[in-house]
Amino acid sequence: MSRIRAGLLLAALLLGVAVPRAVAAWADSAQATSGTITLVPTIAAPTASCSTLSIGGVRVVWTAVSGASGYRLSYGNGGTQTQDVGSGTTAVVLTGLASAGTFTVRTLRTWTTTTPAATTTWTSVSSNALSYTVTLGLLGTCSS
Amino acid sequence: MPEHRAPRRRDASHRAPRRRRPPLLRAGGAVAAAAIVGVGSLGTYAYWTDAAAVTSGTLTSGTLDLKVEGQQGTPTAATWPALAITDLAPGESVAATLTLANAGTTPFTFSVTGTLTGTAQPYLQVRVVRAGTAANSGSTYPRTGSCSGGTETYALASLSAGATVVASSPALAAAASTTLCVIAALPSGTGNAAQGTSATLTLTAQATQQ
Repeated sequence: MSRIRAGLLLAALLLGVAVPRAVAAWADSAQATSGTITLVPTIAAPTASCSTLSIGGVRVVWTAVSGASGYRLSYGNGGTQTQDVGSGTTAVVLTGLASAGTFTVRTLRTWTTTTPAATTTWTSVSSNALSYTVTLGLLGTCSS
Repeated sequence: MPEHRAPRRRDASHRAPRRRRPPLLRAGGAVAAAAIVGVGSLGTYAYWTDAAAVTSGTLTSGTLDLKVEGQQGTPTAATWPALAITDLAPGESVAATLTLANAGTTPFTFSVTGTLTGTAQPYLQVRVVRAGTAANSGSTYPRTGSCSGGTETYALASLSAGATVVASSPALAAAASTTLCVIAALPSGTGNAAQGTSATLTLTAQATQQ
């Protein structure tokens, strides 16, 4: 058996067949950790409030939020109606309402780039909810 | 009991007389026998010897030493504060250069993997350019990072843990250094859930002897 092996080795050498060598390459590694990449903080929600009694609709107000691009109002039965207003607006009179509903407001923050042209809008969570009722389509009462 | 036995005596007078050979014939026979059997007569030999010690020059092994940002980077990761930003918004990016240096005496090639750690990981995208140079423009929205020169090895995309961002590199000679330009970006259209999250990027470079 050893003769056969020796014969094969000799044949490999004669035929120029390379005999594999054990090669141990050195290696080293190194890590680097970046500083923190922090995204835009959570957008604050406004605090809503309302007049206890108003004529011709329901008047609601909310606190201004720094950095807001606008506000998204939700009202109606179950808050199904929405309306966006600019950042300079912090009070509205809701008209044409059904008899009762709830009101909330969320802060909008919009980012627009030109290259590529894109707009992204983030919103805050909803403000506190207000409940309102309208009597005869004219007299609104509201409570938080 | 042997001590009580009477000693035996051999009386020469009772043995048959020996025939004695002539001395010359005896010597010749011995030599002939030695020659035939091959036994040579032993001689005394003395070889001269000498010894001298030679001390080589110092044999110093080479070293393979990869450093990142001038730091060893293992077992404690090197700090890389250049890639950091606050209030990153959709459509913005930040770029930073990472320096890799051959602080050893033998050339090596390297590969690099990356991992984003933190709540912002699902939202951030990363781009890597080997031998690139980072630049950042603008201090107000939209801040933009860019890489110039070099070869892009990882196109802008999200990064799964341990993803290869540099598969291979040319040999880096001893005492030489190179750079990686890295961009972290928050793409436009990123969802609302990304707000308030953060992450760090860890790059692991592996050098292999050339």
